[in-house]
Formats: sequence, C-alpha cells, structure tokens
Amino acid sequence: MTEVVEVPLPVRVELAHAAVQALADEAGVDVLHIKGPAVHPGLRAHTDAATDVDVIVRPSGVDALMAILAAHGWRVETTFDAGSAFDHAANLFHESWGMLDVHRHYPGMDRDPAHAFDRLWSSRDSVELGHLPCAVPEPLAQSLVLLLHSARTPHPGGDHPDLAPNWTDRTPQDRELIKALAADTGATVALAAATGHLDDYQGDPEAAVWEVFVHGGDRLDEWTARFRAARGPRAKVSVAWRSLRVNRYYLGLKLGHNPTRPEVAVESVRRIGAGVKALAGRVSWR
Amino acid sequence: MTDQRLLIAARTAWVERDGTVYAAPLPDGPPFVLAGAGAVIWLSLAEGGTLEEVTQRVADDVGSPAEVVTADVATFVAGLVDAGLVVRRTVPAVPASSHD
Repeated sequence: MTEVVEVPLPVRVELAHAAVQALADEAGVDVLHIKGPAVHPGLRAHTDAATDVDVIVRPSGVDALMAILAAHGWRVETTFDAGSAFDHAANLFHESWGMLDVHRHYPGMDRDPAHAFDRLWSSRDSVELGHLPCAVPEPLAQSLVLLLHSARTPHPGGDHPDLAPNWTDRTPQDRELIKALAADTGATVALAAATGHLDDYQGDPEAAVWEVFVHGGDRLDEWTARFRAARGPRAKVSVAWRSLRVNRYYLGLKLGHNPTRPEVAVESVRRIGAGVKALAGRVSWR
Repeated sequence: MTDQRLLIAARTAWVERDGTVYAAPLPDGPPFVLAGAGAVIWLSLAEGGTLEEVTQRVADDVGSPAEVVTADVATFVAGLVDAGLVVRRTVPAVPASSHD
C-alpha cells in the first residue's frame, strides 16, 4: 500500500519544515521558519524554488536545537563558523529530509541577535507546513528578511527578484514600517544595501561589509570589512582570529578527505602568515 | 458503547500535490507516497470518522457500492496504522436517545 519512492523536492522541503518544527517543539525551542514555503503568498513568486529549509532559532536555544537535530539523524555539513563571514548559519543534511540551514542570527540583524529574534517572535504569524503549525515572521518582517537576503545575493543583470514584491511594489506606508523594523533590529544599513541606498551611509564601518556584497569582493575583502565594522579592540581581535582560523570543512573539500591534525596545523601556519600580511596592509586598528 | 474513530497521528506531516499524498511520520520520516486509491482513502480519512464512514466516503468518491471497497479500505487503513501515520481512537458512542 505504501512505498518509499522519489518525493518531489518542494514537497520534501515542506515536510522537512514540519520535521524541524516537531523537533523544536520536543526540545522546547522557538524557531521561525523563513523562505520557501514559509513565505507569505505574493512575497516570493516561486516558493517551489526552495531547495532547503531555513529557520532562525532563538539564540538561547541554539545548543538544544542542534543537539536534538543530531540525535535524530541530522548531520552537520558546515558549522556556524564555517560559512560566511557573518558566522550566522549551520548547514545540516538528513537522509529523509535533505538540507537545513539553522540561523543563529540573521545577517543584517546581527548586532543584538536576541533582541532581533524577540522582535520578530513578538509579531509572528503561523502557517501550516505539512499540516503542522509553524511560526513565521509576520509579512512585513518576512519582507525585511527577504530584502536582507537579497542584499547578500546580488542578481546578475538587474534587480533581485525579491526586491519588487517586498519593497518597490509595497506602499510608502509599508516601506516606512519595514524601515522602522529594520531600525529596531539593527538592520538599517543592511536594508539600505538591499534597496540601493547604501551610499547614504558612506563612511559607516558597517556599510563597508555590505559594499562587498553589493559591489563584489573576495573573502579577504569580506573579512577586512568585518574587521572595520567590529566595534572596539576586543571585537576586532575576535574577527581577526576567526578570519585566520582553519575551516576544516573547506580544507576537507580541498584535500578530498577529512583533514588530519598535521594538515590542519600546516594550513593554520599558512593562513596566519598570509592573513597577517594581508590584513596589515589593508586595515587600520583604530 | 464505544466507536473507534480514525485520526491522522499528531506526529504525521502530509502534503497533497496533484492528486498524490505524501505522508511522513515525524520527526524522522521517511515520507510515504500514497497515489491513486491510496490518496483517495487518505483524503477521506483526513475528514475524520469511523472506518465505516471513511469507507462510505471512498465508495462515493469512486462511484462503487461500499461493500465492494470495504475490504480494500480496511486493509489499507490497517497499513497506515501499522506505519504510525494514523491512529485509532476509541470514543464513547453518542446514544441515539441524546438526539431526541
């Protein structure tokens, strides 16, 4: 009567949202589902284009969520500090469900992740995914999330497709509300990057980070900008240290096998040498 | 007096797409694919009710007398219960006199 056969990707993604919600419920952790089928109809033209599940987790619940995911067969593919310079998301894989991005904070809203999550959570909506209620940001907050994502993913040959439904085609009143939400979640500069107003923040250290995404740049540009944007010596040292740390996942991809301890050590020395030289030439410690 | 009602398990996720139902036990899966008559039975079951009520809905949907589909529906539903996708819940039957 039943058999395990190929499940269409959009269906698998929707079921995977429900699976993650079930585990979040079991762990007592708040998560907000974003992107793909979690997006309000009309804010993204092609919800079927989603290939993975994206959730933002309440920062205080990150460890509990990651633990229960691991206990139920989710394998970490990239750790939080192995992805972008924002250190924002871990990428996981499950045999039944496919790919999952767990965001411990959202790029652009990363100055005070706990407050940003609280703000999104306090006005949340609920949608049924796989017939399970899942918490999602309310539509204006969804627009902000999609706009901040579009700022990190420039669209070749024109505006990002998410710009029109979430900004250009919205009413002036809606845009003001999105700006207010951005201000409340520390995302004013990131929103400006998404909406083509980054020049208004010239000289702002945070703007330098977004300029890399808007105008293009390599990983060193990204780290250099993050270093400039970091507030205070302690934060700058943290960025510098993280920029030099060996990413075991990518080193493994390069080597074709899990790196051994000596291989990591060799890569560490190489990165520190190259990194210190490059950073010294490109940034100021003030 | 009691009735056994059929319910989709609380920890079952499901999606209907183009006449096919994809149902999965949570949180680990994997998803099952219910096509054709299987999808018809699932969607009838999703409305709730006893096995007899579900069978009657399926019969109405496929245009056959209930007695023709009864055995197949019962077998299929038993499989769904075994897979953990559906539960049987025993509830007190409403006495006929209470409708007076």
